[in-house]
Parts: sequence; C-alpha cells; structure tokens
Amino acid sequence: MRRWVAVNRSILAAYAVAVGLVFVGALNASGFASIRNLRTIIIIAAFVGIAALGQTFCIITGGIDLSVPAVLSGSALVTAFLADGDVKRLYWVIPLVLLLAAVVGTVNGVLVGVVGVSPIILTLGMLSVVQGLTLVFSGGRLAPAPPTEYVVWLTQSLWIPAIWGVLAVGATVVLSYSTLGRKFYAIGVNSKAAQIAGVRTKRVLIVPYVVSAVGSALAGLGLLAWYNRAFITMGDEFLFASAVAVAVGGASILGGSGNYIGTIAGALVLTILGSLLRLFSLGTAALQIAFGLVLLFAVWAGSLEVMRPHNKDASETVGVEESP
Amino acid sequence: MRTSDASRVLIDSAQWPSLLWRRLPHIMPYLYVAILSLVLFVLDGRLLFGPGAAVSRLNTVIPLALVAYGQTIVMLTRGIDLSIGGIASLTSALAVSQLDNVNGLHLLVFLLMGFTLGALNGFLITRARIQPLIATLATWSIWGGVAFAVLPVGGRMRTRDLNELVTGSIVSIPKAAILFVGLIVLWRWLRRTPLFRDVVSVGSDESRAILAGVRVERAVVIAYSLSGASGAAAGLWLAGQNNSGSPTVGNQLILASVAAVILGGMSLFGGGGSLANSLVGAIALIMIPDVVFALGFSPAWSIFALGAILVLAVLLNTGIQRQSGAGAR
Repeated sequence: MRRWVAVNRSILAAYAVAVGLVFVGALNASGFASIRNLRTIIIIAAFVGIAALGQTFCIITGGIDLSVPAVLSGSALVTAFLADGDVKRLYWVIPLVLLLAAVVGTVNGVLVGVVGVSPIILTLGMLSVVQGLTLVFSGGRLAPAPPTEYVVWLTQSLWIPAIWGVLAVGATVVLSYSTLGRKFYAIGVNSKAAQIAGVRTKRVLIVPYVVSAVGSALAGLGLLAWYNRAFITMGDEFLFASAVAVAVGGASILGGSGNYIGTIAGALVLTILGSLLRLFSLGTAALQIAFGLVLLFAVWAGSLEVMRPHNKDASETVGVEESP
Repeated sequence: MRTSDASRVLIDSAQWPSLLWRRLPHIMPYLYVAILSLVLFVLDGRLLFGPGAAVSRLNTVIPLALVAYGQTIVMLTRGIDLSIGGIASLTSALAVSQLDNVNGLHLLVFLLMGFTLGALNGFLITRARIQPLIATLATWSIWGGVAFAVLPVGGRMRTRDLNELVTGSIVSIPKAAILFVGLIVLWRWLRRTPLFRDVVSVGSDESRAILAGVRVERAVVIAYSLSGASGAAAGLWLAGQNNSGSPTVGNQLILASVAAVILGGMSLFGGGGSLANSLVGAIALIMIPDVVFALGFSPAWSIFALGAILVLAVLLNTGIQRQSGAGAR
C-alpha cells in the first residue's frame, strides 16, 4: 500500500486538488457542489478527458499531438453541415467523420512513426492543413444547428460521462494490461532499445496518433451538442487543455510514464478550476493565466519526482562510459 | 566539423551529387521563392511587379521576419518558442492601451520587456528543467492572458506616432526594407560572436558542449531572451503598421515563425541552420496567399497550403538529413 502511494503520489495529489477545489467552490457558492453543477463539470471534463486520451498515449511514447484543436472543430463543423439538422443523416455522418479523423491520425502516425519526422512540427503543420480544409469545406458559411433530437439525447442524459467511463476503462486496460501498452512505455523510455528488444516501433507509433485524432473527433461531436452549434475556433482551448490534463495527471512530457487515471484527474482539476474562476467572475484572461501557471507547476513538480532516481542512473552510465 | 573538413580534402567529381544533396535544405528556401515567383509571374505578373506589390510584401514580411529571427536562434538550440506569439500579443495590447507619445525610450522599454519575458522562458527550461514546448506553451497562455487583461478588445492606437515611425521611407527607401537589410547585417555580425558558437554547439550535442566548457545555461537563456525581444519587436511593428492592436494578434505568428524556419532548411538534429535562410523562408511563406489567390482558389486554401508546405518541407529536411547521416548519431 505504501509503495502504491509512493508510485502514484502525483496522481493522488491531482485528485486531492480536484476535491479541494470543489470544497473551495462549495464554501463560496451554495450551488457549486449541487448535483446539477457537478454533472455539468463532469460533462465538460469528459470533453477534455476524451480529447486528452490519445494525447496521453502520444506523450507516453515521447511524442505529442498538436493537431487536436483542428480535428475537434473540423469534426463538429463537418457533422453540422452534412447533417443539416436532420437526425437520420447522423447514422452515416458520424461514422464518416470518425473515419476522416482516423485518416488524419494515420497520416500523423505514419509520418512520425515510419518516416521519423519531429511530432511537434508535423502535427503543427497538420493543424493548419485540417483547419484549412475545414474552412474550405464550410466556405465561410455559418454552420447549421445540429439536429435537436441529437442535442437533447446527449445533453439531457448521462451518455457523455458513460462514454467517457467506457473509454477510460479501455484506455487503462490497454496501458496497464496489454502488450501494446507495454510497447508504448518501452518506446517512450528508449525507442532504440525498444526496437532492439523486438518492438516494431514504426507500426506501434501509428496507434497513439490515430487514437488521438478519433478521440478529438468524438470530443468535437460531443461539444457540437453541448454548445448547440459549431464554429471554427471551438477547439482552440483543447490544444492546451489536453496537454495540461496529461501533465497534471503526472505523466512526464519526456515520455515513458503516466497513465490515463492521472489524465482523468488532470481533466477534472482543469474543469473545476475553470468553473471556479467563472464563479469569481474572472474571465478569459484569468483563465489563461491560471492554466499556464498550473501547467508550469504540474510539470515542475512532476520533474522533481522523475529526476531523483533518473539522475542516479545517469551518473552511473557516465561512470561506465568514462572507464576505458 | 570533422566531416566537413574531411569532405573538403577528399572531394572529387563523384562526390558532387552527395555534397549537393547535403546542401539541399539550405538551397531549398531560395528554390521555394523562385518557384512561387515563377508561378506568380506566369499567372499574373502584376502581383509580382505591379505598383506597390514589393512594398506591401515587405511590410507583410517584417513581423514574420522578426519572429523567424528569434525562432531560428531558439531552434538552433533544438528548442521551440511558442510564447513568441503571446509576447507579441502582449506588446501589441500594451502599445494600444499605454502609449501616447512615442519616443526611443518607449521602444527600448518594450524590447527590454520582451527580452526579460524571454529570459524567463530560458530559466524555466534550464533551471526548472521544463521541456521547451511545455514551458513556452504555458508562458504563451500566461502572456496571452495578461494581454487580454490589459486590452480586452482590440482597438486603435491613441496617436499616429508609432504608425509614422514604422511606415513611409527614408530617402525613398521604405523603412521596412532598411529594417530587413538591418536584420541580415545583424545576423552576419551575430554568427561570428562566441555566444552564437555556444548556441550552435548546445543544439548539436549538449553533453559534449558541457564537456567542452560551453556555458550552456547562459547560451540557452540568451537564445530565448533574443526570441522574446524579437516577439516584442514584431508586436510593436504590427501595432504601428496597422495603427491598432489586439490581444490575439500574435497567435498567427507562432505557426508562421516555425514554418519560416523549417522552410529555411533548419536541421532538426541540431547545429545546422541559417538566419538568412529563415528570412528567405519567411518571404516564401508570405507569397503563398498571393499564389493561392492567383490560382483562383478561395483564401481558405492558403491556410491549407501553409500547413501542407510545412509538412512537405519538414519531410524533405528529415529525409535529407537522415540520408546524409546527420540523424544517425
């Protein structure tokens, strides 16, 4: 038990911060801890969490996916246009949009994994590619409202948290109990060693980027219902949110550590913090500043933990190298 | 260093193709500009040589050239600076909300502010050991937020001072052209300084740089400081040129600055890259919307084209550098 606490210290800290923030909110406004408000928080956290699912995989393998916002708003806009208010069309539109997202993810994954391009610059370029294609597709027109039945079905039920729960269980099983998950960690720690040990790194690296793109598209489909409209900048905050959620959840940005249970805590902390700031009627400015500070603090605190055993290893290796 | 010396000794006619291939990333930016110019010339010569075309292109390229300047120095250390956009936004917001009469001191204060904010990035990276991408993502958010707090909605400058300062010409040479030439002169001086050698050595191999006695922390902090100052300069220029500012004006510069550096042939494995090339990359970049327009596509396509060209350029750079063995280390 003590060992488990020591290993998962940062994740436990993140959950503690989440609960603490709810208490702070409840002390300042009676309705903050109400079922209604908590349900809203969990739904918004679900969007962050689903978009950050693939990001967790990417960061564990030592990469990152910056194209999240473009895929998210792109999927919402394309769905709104193609459905055009008719709920029956969603039966083919949603699979089509998820397929398109998978194509984007595959392009990212193949170029990062097989060709070996820097994920930061590649996904930054893909962000612009997908955003451009979305703009071309929409032609500057205002997107039609999503089908009412779809909006009611998603927002007046517990479907969004339920979907998040299923995805969370799936992600945790993949990361902790499957060979694929082990391969992710192995690549993140040392991709060359993983390759020598027989991991087909090129093929395996495609998976996180596909998951990230499909997850971002799912988050976009959910947000379409939540906002009841689609617009080109709706995904912008998710680039930041997904990376912060993963970092707050205790994953090292260098790769090789972290899990989805931590990311869930990160998504909750971010969302509760956001709604708390709105409670104190602080706007975009305070939100952006707070998120930046939280990211810096989380990464800094995490790096302290990672560095201690890591430094020892490093000094040992240098010693070996220097002896003739 | 050793390989280039060796190849100079052993050079013979059979090695020319491989040598050319290795130099290709540094030739590419000029090829990009040449190809785009040719397309523009064939489609609609007025877009290239028409009245005001050169001046308007210069004005557009200056903010991008400024941020590409900082981004190049940072990427030479194998880092990245996303906060350059946040610093530009903050400068723009402060210029609109605070500046009445503009004098040299004001400009100096703004540049110093950018320098300091950049130094903060450098310390976050060297002292707190936070990855450049994450550190600058966080500071981008923070300075963007401060910009929103300073200036919630975009607005016009109070006076035309800054506008008069950056537009127009001196002895019929546009000020933008003078600044552009100045940037190149500054680069030619900078690359001979010991500091710059430190920056390149940190990017090539940090642990060897430490062994060789390079003060890595100082080099990294100064690289990010210069990047911050260049972000502030870009924000000032944009505020002056448009005579207005907004708290989000810098966001568009982030992707563009990285794209200019990549089009300029920066080696992603460290140690190789030239600022002059990045400036040429910036010129290629601002020609994309013109080419998209001349081809008769809607302006939305230029965002797609920007991303596609960035992806292709990074693929090309990676492929060439892998083949020539730079990435084999």
